[in-house]
Amino acid sequence: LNIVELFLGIMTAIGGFVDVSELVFAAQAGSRFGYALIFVFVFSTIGIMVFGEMSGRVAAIAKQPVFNLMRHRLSLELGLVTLIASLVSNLITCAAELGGVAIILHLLTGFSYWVMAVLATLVITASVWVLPFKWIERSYGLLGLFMLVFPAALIAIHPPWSAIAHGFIPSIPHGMTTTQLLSYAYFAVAIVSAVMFPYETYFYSSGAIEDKWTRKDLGINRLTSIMGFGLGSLLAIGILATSVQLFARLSIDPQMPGTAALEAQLPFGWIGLLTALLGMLFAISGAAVETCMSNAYSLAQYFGWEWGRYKKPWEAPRFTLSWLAVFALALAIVLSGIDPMKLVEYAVMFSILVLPLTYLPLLLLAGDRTYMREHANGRFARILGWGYYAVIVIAAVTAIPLFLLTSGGQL
Amino acid sequence: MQNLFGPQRGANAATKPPAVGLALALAFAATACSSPASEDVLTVKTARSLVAEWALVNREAARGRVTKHYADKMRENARSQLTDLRKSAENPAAPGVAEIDRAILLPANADAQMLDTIVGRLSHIETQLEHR
Repeated sequence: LNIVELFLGIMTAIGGFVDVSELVFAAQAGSRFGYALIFVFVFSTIGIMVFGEMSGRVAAIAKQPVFNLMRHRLSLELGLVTLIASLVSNLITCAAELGGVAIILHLLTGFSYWVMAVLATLVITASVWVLPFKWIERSYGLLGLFMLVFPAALIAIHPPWSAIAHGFIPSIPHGMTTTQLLSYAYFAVAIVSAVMFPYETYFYSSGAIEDKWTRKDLGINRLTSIMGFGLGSLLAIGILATSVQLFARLSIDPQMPGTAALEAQLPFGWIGLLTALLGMLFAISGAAVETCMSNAYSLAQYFGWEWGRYKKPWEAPRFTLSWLAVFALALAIVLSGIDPMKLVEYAVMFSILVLPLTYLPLLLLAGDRTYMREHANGRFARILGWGYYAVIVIAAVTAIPLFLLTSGGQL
Repeated sequence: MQNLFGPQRGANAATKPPAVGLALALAFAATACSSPASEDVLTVKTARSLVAEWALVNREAARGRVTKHYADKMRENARSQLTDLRKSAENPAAPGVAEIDRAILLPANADAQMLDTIVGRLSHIETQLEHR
C-alpha cells in the first residue's frame, strides 16, 4: 500500500466531493431545517461509498469499465436506455457546474457572467487537453481543499456541538406545517440525488482503469471510497451546520453559491470570503470536468471506441471529440440564459429519476461471479446495495411530485 | 423544464412503467393542488431572503470586510432578482408586493437597518400567509 498515493487519493476525493448542488442544498437545508437533514447527508454518503467501492472493484477485477460490461451482461436495449439517461443527466449537471463556476468568477472579478462562462469553459477544456488523467483529478481535487475553510469557519463560530450531533440521528422536526414537511421531504430527496450523482461512480471506475488498478489496489479502493467520500461529506455537513448558525437567524435561505461563501466571510473577513470562493471555484470546476468526462467515458465504453486520457487526444479521436462536444453543449445550455440555480434543480431532479437505471447494472455486475469471481459482492455488500437501491427507487418515484408540490423546495 | 425532462420520461417508461406512471399521476395531482396562496408565500419568502442577503452584504461592506466586486455583484443580483419577482407578481395588491417595491427603490448601498426593517415586515407577512 503506497501511503503517499493513498493520502493524495483521499485528499483529492475530499476536495472534489462538494459540487454546486451539494453546496446550494447544504446551505439551504441548514437555514431552512436546522440540523435535521444532517442524517440524510450521512445516509447518502454511505450509499455513495457502497456504490463507489463496487465500481472501483469491478474496474480492478473485471478490468473493464462498467459501460463495456453492461453491453455484454445486459441487453443492448437496456444498456442504451441507461446510456441515454446517463448522458442527459451528466450534461445537465455539467451545465449547472459551468454556470456555478461562471457565477463565482463573476463575483471574484466583476466581469460579465457570460464572458466568465466562456472563459471558464475554455480554461477547463484546455486543462483536460493538456494534463494527464491523474493530474486533472488531483489539480482540481487538491485545490478544492480551500473548501476546508468551511469546517474551519464552523469551529470558529463555536456552534452547539450536541445539537449538531443530534442531527446525525434520523428525525423530523416538530411543529412543521404540511407544506413545510413536503419541502423537508423534497430536500431529503434532493440531497440523496446530489450526493449520489451517477457521474461519480462512472468517473471513479473509469479513473481506476486509467490508473491500471489490479486486485492489489482493492485496499486503496476501499479506503479511498470510505475515507474520501466520508471526509468530503463532513465538509458538506460543515456547510449545513454553519448555515444554521449564521443564515437561519438572519432569515436568509442562501440560493446562490456566492451567498454560501459568506459562511467563511463572517468569522474570517475578506480572507475567508476569498478562500471560500477559490475553494468553490476549484471544487465546482473539478465536478464540471468529472461530469463531462463521464459522458465521454460512457459513450466510448458503450460503443467500444478507443478511450482514456492516458492516450494523446488524437490517439482516441472519438473519445476526444465526445468530451469536447459535451463541454460545448453544456456551455450552450449556460449561454441560453437558463438561471444556473434552476439548472442545479433540474440536474438534481433528473439525476434522481435516472439513478435507479444507472445503479442497477453496477449492482448486477458487482454481484456477478462470472466477472468478479471471489471478489463478487458478499452478503453485507449485497444487503447494503439492494437496500440503497430500494431507497433510490422510492426517491425517484416521489421526486417530481415533491418538486411540483413545493415549487422546487421553495415553499 | 419540459424539454429537459421529456426524452428521459420516455426512456424510463420503457423499463419501469408502474413507477413512472405513479410518479406522473402524483405529479398531475400536485399541479392541480398549487394555488395563488402558495404563489404568494413563494414570492414573499424569496423576497425576504433576497433582501436579507442584501442587508448582510451591505453590513459587511460598510465594515470593509468584503471585496468591492463581491459586494457590487451580490447587490446587483439581489436587486435584479427582486425586480424579476415584482414583474412576475401580477396583482400589485398581493401581499408583500409593496415591500418589494420599497426595497427596489432603495440605492444599492442602502443602510442595512432599512433593509432589515423590510425583512421584518416580509417575515411577518410570510408567517400570516403560512398560517392562513
